[in-house]
This record gives sequence, C-alpha cells and structure tokens, in this order.
Amino acid sequence: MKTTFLTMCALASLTPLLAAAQSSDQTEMKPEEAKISAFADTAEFGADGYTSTDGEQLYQTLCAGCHMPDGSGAIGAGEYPALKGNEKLEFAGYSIYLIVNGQGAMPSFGTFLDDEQVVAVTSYIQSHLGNEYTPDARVEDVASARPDEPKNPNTAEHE
Amino acid sequence: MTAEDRELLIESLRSFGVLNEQNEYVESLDTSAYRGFDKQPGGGVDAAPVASDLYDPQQVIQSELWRFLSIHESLEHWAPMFQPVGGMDGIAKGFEREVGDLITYNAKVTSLQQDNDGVTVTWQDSVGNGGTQTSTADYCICTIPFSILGQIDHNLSSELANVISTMPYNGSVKVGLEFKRRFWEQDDEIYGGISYTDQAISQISYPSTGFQSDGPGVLLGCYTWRGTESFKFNAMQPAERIEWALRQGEKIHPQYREEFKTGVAVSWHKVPWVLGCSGVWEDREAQGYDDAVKIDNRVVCAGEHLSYIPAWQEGAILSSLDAVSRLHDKVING
Repeated sequence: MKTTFLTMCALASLTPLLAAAQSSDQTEMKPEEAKISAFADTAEFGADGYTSTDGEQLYQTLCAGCHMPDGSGAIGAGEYPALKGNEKLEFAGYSIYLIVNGQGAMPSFGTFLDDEQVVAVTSYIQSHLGNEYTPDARVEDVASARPDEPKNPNTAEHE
Repeated sequence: MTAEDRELLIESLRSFGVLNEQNEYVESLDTSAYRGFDKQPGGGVDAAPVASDLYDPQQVIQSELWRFLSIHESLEHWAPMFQPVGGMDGIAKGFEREVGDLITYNAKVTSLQQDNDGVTVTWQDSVGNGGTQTSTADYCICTIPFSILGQIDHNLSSELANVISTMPYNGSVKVGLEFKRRFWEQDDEIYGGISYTDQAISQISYPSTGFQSDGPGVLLGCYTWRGTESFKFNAMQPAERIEWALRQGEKIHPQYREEFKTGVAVSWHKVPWVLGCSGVWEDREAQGYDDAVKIDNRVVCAGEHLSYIPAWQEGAILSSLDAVSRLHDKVING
C-alpha cells in the first residue's frame, strides 16, 4: 500500500492549490471545500448513474476508485491490478469483457454503462495511464460481450 | 368481503390513519397529534395547541416516502435490535479479550495448501520484517474473504475454487461526521433513528446513546449500499466524500456547516483486506453456495459471505459456529 498511499498524498496536496487558484475571488472558503477536486466537485449523482461519454471522466469517477487515478493499482492483502503499462490492454477485447462482465471480486458494470461508454473508457485506458496502444474498441464489440441474461450485482438490498 | 368487513376496514382507517367522520385526512388537532403540531399543547396561559398544515399528498407519494416507512418493521431492523456498548467493533474486541493470545496480527496469507495429512499456510508479516513464515495444522477454518482468497495460491477443490474466484464483492460507503454539539437533539428533537433522503448520502443516522450529553456528537452522514453512488464516492478522496456529505446533509440540517468539527469516510472497496463490503450472491444455486460451505478435505470456509445474512456480523458468526460444529463432528466421528 505504500506506493498507493504516497500517490494519494501527492494528489491531495496538489488539488487545494488548484481549487484555491480558481476561487481566489472568494473572500472566505470553507475548509472542506478547499480540498475538493474538479471531478469530485462536479459529481452528478442520481438514478441515471453515469451519463458522461468522456473516457477520462468515466475512468476518474469510476475505475480510479480501485485502480487509482494514475492506473498504478494497489496492493494490500490482495491487489487491484495496475492498468498502467498493462500489456493485456493492447487489444480492447480484454478490457471490454471485464468492464461489461466483471471478473473475480470486480463487479460487472455492463448493467449501467452503455456500449459507447464502455468504448470511451476502454479507449482512454488503452491510450493513457502510461499506455500507448491504439484504441481499437467498437460499440459492436461491447454489444457482443454482453451476456444474454445480465445479472445486476449492484442493486440487491441491505441497509 | 362482507359489508360488515368493509365497515370494519373503514373504521380501522379512521383509527389507524386518523381519518375524520367523512373519511377524510384533514388539518386538525387529531391529525396533528400524530404528525406534529404547528404549536405544541402547553400548560397555563396561551397553551392551546395549533394544528399543523398538511403536506401536498402528491408530493408525499412522489417522494417515495413509502419505501422507508416499513424498514423498521423488517426483521433486520426491528426494535429489539441491540447494539454492542461502545460500537459495533465491541464484538471483535470481545474476541480479542477472550482469545487475544491466539491471534497473530498483520499476517498476510500468501498460500494455503492441504494434503491428506494436514494444512500448511504461508504468510508474511505485513508490517514488520518477519519475512515469510509457515503455520501447519491438522485442519483449517478459513475466514479470508473470497475477494482475497481468490488471489492467494491454494489447492482447494475445483468446486470450491470456482465459487471463490467468481464471487463479486459490492461497494458501500459510510461517512461519520462530528459536530460541536448535538443540534439534532437540542434544536430538532431528534433522538436516534434515521432521516432518509433521495440524495446520494441516502440517510443520516443519529446516535442512539448519550442523549442530551454536552459536547461534540457523531452521526452517520452518508451510507451508500452498492450501486453507482457507491462507485462515485469510492473514486473520491476522503475529504471529497465528507464535503459531499456536508453539501447534501445541510439541506436537511442547516446547522451542518456552523457546527461541523471533523469527519471520516470509509469506502469498502478501499479496505485492503477485503476490497469490498460483502460477497454478492445473485443466485446461490447457480453460484454454488452448497459447494462453498462444504468441508473441503481439511479446510472449511466461513464468514458473512457463507450465510443467508450476508454483510452482517451475525451472518459471519452464525457461519463460523456452523463450520466449527461440522468440523468438530467430522474430527470426532469421522
């Protein structure tokens, strides 16, 4: 976890500067507001789930939670695989299948991301996070990766 | 339904639902006695109560308030639901008190191997420099979450291994907020319980102990369960989750910003030893629940994920008691 922790600290120390620069015209800033990044500040919640079709936006507000904003992954008792420099991302099929269907403990996202969103985020991780692969995801690839009877692991109830 | 039944049903609605003689729900001292008065009944001079206005019934229905009205009636939330003194970790602390000398902390298991003679577990001291160590035993009760066990080198049966490697783990996020004073009690007459909201924080849960105490108080300011809101909070930094808990919570309690002291946010996808809140059973039969709870030669798995009360500590404890009982029976009786 050490690497991950340092990465998070580095980001956290950068964001207040950005936020402060953007809102220098305000006379007073509440302490918590100074710490919020642009992606978090503009978060849209609600029943629609994710509406963005921008790959970076989707990555940073969904995938980054586990794979980290820079794609470096994380190591604890188990690990979240790094996407940074990950050779499995050379061809889009691998990423598309995992996003739509999940793998192991990773839940499936296919029930709330549409085909275009899966293409957008796949193209982003193929060409960012230290990867320089040529994005080759197509919406028809996503459609064919979808199961006939999708199960939704994201809705069962518990309080 | 007979005419007499119908009359009794309407009578029950007049009584239970506070309808008037014309079977209408109207602004009155009668309805105010249930929904709250505009001015409470008092004593002496100027003590007469004033009835409160009704909400627009369409708004009440559209708000889906009904989703939450019956939660406290459900088996998992009913009234005789006790809490450990000092918080839910009181149960873990109780184990530590009783069997603490048997616990090895910070042991990161890297391998679990069994044969017909015993079980060998390889582990690393995850904080110190103890290096790689092995422990051997005749049998093993394994409570490692499947999200982690699936990443550990093991030689469990293919049936069990298949369940382990295909179980998704769900997200959940909680935010604890500390305030300088218990304004919900002092200003709003709220003592324990939950305010539900259709905002992402989903609820504000008030402490059910220490009523009317001076000084700071802590409440649960956000609790997401699965779904995209959990993923969104998970992708934020802790301070950002706290800021959103304040933004949404202050719409219910305007005192929030003035009284806010500090906060803490937990996203279960970020907890290193589990990587999620609980194991997800979409279909126990298809996923192989029966295979997962079987004693696999010398290893039996246990935990919340191997119960019909997933995510709850009760499920974890009942699962482990069952595993211990079955293993004991196998060792004694073969």
